[in-house]
Amino acid sequence: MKTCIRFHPPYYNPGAVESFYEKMASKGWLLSDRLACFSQFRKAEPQKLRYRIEYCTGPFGGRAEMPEEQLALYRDCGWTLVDEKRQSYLFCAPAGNSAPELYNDPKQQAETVNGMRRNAILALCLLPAMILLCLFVNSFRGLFLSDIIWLTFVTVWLLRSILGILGLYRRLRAGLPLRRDAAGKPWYILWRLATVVLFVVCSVLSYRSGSYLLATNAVTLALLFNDG
Amino acid sequence: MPEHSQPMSEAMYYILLSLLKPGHGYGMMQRIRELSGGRVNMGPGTLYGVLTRMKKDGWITLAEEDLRRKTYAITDAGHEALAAEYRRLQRLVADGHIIEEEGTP
Repeated sequence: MKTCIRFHPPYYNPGAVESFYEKMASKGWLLSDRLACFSQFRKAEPQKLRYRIEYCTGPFGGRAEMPEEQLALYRDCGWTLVDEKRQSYLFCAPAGNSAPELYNDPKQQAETVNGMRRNAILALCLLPAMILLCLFVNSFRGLFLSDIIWLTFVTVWLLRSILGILGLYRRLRAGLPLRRDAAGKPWYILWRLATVVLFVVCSVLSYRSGSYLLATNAVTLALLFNDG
Repeated sequence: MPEHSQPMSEAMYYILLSLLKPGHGYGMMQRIRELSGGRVNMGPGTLYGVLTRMKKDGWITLAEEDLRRKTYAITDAGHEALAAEYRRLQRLVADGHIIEEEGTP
């Protein structure tokens, strides 16, 4: 069976995530597995499908289980659960069927991302302290150019995720539905490729300058790519 | 619910209205569509979220539970809240009679 792997949009843009899977299905690629920032697809007949993602965040950013009653209700309405990973549940229904939208009220839908919003605010408050701690720890052996580049990039990445979640919550609370027009723009693919390139460059610089940050870079890279 | 409380959302109003006869999730959605003449097509996520909140507020209660589904019924507190909201909406409509007196554009 033919398969392919593609980057999917980041989790704080659920409209783009849904549009992405719909577009892939229309081209004959059905989702078979969702990984951290990649999705795996299998070849099938092109289909017009609707995908909808819902987040269930527990305390401290952990995953909350969607109650069986809620899952049963979605099933009764014609939605099939196709994937449940980390904090998200992905549902699918044929485009032409009568399955109602999961949420007809964006303000109610905002409650589903409230957990992520609280975690984002906490991360925003802790971010300056984390940066200062990194600088302090690295200052004992001297700061290298690669450390500063990598730290700056990680900070920008984290800020992007945090502001993305806060913007998503604000939009839904204002009664505006999800935007589904961003899936066509490949900016997130370029961003992820840039991350890999920067990681390689910073790792080489770290190694050549005798910095011990190589292991730390690898850990932060794994964390950054876990935003799927 | 006291008369001066926050107005109820449309979703809460119709869910309470549908639960004047005990019902379960999917059945409630169909009943709400019938009650509203097809105007309100409630999403299952919206329904579930509002049911959870109303359970916490004591406006609805679990009437029956089997392996697949839970049946809910409105409580006395929910009934009072619904009646208060209905009276509020009636007053709004009554106060709006001047629209007809002034003539609609």
